[in-house]
Amino acid sequence: MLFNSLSYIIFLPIIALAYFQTNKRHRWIVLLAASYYFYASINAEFVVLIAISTIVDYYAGRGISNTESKLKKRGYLISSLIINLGLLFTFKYWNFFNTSIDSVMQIIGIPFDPIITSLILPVGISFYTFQTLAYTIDVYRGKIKAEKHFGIFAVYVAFFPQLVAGPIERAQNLIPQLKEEKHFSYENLKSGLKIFIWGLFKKMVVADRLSIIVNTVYAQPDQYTFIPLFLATIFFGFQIYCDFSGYSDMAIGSARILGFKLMNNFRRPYFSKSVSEFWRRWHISLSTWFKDYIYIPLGGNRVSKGKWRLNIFIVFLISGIWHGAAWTFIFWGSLHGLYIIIEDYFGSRFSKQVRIPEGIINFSKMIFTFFIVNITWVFFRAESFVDVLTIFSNMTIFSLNTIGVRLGVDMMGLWIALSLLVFMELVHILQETRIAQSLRNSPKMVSSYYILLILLILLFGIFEPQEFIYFQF
Amino acid sequence: MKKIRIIQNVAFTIIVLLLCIGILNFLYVTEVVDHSRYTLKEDSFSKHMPELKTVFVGDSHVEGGINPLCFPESFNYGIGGDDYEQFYLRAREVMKSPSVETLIVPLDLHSFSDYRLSPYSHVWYWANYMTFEELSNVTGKTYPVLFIQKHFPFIGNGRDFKVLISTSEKSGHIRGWTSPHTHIFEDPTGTITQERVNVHFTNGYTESKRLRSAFDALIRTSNEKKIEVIFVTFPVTQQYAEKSSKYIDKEEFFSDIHSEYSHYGNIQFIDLQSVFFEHPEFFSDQDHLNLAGSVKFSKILRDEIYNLSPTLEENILC
Repeated sequence: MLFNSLSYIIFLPIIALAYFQTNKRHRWIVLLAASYYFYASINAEFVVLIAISTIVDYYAGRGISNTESKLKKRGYLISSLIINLGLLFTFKYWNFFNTSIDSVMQIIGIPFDPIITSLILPVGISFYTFQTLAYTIDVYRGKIKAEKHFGIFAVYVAFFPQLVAGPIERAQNLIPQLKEEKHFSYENLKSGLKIFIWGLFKKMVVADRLSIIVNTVYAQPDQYTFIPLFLATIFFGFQIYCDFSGYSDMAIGSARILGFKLMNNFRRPYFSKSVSEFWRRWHISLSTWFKDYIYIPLGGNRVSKGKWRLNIFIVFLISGIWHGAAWTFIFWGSLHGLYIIIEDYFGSRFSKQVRIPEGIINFSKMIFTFFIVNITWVFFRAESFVDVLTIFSNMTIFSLNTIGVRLGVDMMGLWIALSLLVFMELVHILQETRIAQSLRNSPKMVSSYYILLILLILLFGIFEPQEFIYFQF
Repeated sequence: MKKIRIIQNVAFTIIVLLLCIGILNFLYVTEVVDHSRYTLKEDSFSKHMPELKTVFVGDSHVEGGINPLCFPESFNYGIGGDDYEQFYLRAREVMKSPSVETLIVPLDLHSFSDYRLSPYSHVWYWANYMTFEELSNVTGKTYPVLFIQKHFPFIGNGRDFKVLISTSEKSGHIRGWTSPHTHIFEDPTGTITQERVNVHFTNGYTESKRLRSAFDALIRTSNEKKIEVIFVTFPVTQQYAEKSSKYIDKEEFFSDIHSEYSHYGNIQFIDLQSVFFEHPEFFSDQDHLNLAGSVKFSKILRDEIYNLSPTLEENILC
């Protein structure tokens, strides 16, 4: 069951109704059953993995809080880390690890027989693993108390709106909300629906429409030259943004309808003026996770410049590994780490020397950041390093012959996709202006705007439900 | 007071939304669906149905390639973009007519190659030919989704509203025959032809079980109904034939079909693939005939069928 499917549009109101009709003490049962049903509809055979993670971290948390011995506390933490990361490693990285070792061994000339499994990647494993790990680490650090109610904790791990692709919630934000007495609220319903509709628009109208062009070009990059490749790369930048932020919006909107406030995951990242700012606006729940559980324990910025650069690089290297079990992802993550190091090195020197109006500098920075981030998406999207090299080498060939040829859509399809993209960005820009503030005060205008969005979804949405890109992570 | 305002807002939003949906759907049905080639062809077919003896079923090769005026009491029921499963579904309906004696269906080398992306995208149309169960099996869609797509065809098809602003004339047809392009195909480098071959034989040739079983069902049903079926291999350019031969062996393809189905007494095969190898001027692209080619081909096919069935009457209109 995908957020962009009719089943979910039916499922959500039923769950909301059941949730608010149920006695407060038993509401967790409704949410838990709904969450497991939701996950089972996508990946039934891996429900058991969520249950394992839940049991392990519940008892690890309880164990840590029930003992005074630092050694035992550490033992519980390490057990949780080994089991959770072990499952993640087995299902996500085992084959990659084996084939990588095999490649190295072949170069050295040592015989090695890789053990390749046929395991498929359980949807959302990276997300809920990080969420449960955050809980156990926070209990270990004494930041939160271990949850006593197993049912509440199980809902925290499996809460269906954010189970398969985040936002990666922290226990201190979600668990107290699960214990609160919630009443149906029109305001929550209204704001939840608004967020949900906007997410649905981004996913069905923009992301899925752009994906037709991106998938066509990236399937055979050797057939294309500069213009289609560049266009497809920029389109992929918007596709992944709309796909993932659309998912997050739908997750946040669904949770809001039930009365829950999930953390914001995106803040218009393509308006960033630097790569470091981009990461403060893109997949915020993951960026802050890395900050809290890797970057700061490594010393953060309270270390020498050299050590700080190393810390940044390590964090982004791990971010690349988190995203996918392939060298292209690792390279993508490492490049972002390098950009931030370079940015820090040159940024301060450049700004001291150049005297240009701030507006122009900011705009140039924004364009430059957009360009850098989007070109780097090539590593993220391409199937292999061979494809990456093909794409970059073919991008140097300028030919008009291939424009409009086999882009997967005709000229009208291309214009529709572009127009809807421009519409979305205009909304993004307008959202920050006074015009939008004043329009928000008129209920009729707000209603008209959301009616327009629904009609655009109905008219131009892609109604063959397509999975979300981040499901693969 | 606040409650009343909330109810007013909700009611306003729902009413306006439903009104817009209703208007859009009405516009789509009257301007797009009712003027689509599917509807026009269906209407024309229904009009001619009681008198029809010969019906052509197939894809764009049939739709633009056969002038039904060459064949007495016939109708060209070919629709571009259809695959073998859809030929069968349409033939299944046609065979319900007691007057129909002969079905003429294409059998090309790419007939069982499953390269079409979403053959059942027009749910509103196919729901007339198939049950929801059949549609659900081939599309993977649930019944509620199919219900919505059948009754609200504008959903997901906003681009079709271009007909409201388009100045181009809607193309007509003669007994289902859509007059093809008049231009002559040229491809000196062979790249366009190769691209087409690549489309027809994506990643080489893999026979689709779905399409082959539709072919099988068509033969079995026609045999039960005692309707003669003539399978025609349509003309292609020599360049196309040479390039496609790298993916599929023509002799092997036909000998397999012949050996498997020759025991059915109601089927015939006519191979006209190479009939215009020396006449590239008859093609509008590598595997589609232009107007001159279509007219010429219809006469040739008529003569061939006459050789098989001498009872076929002469027709002065051809």
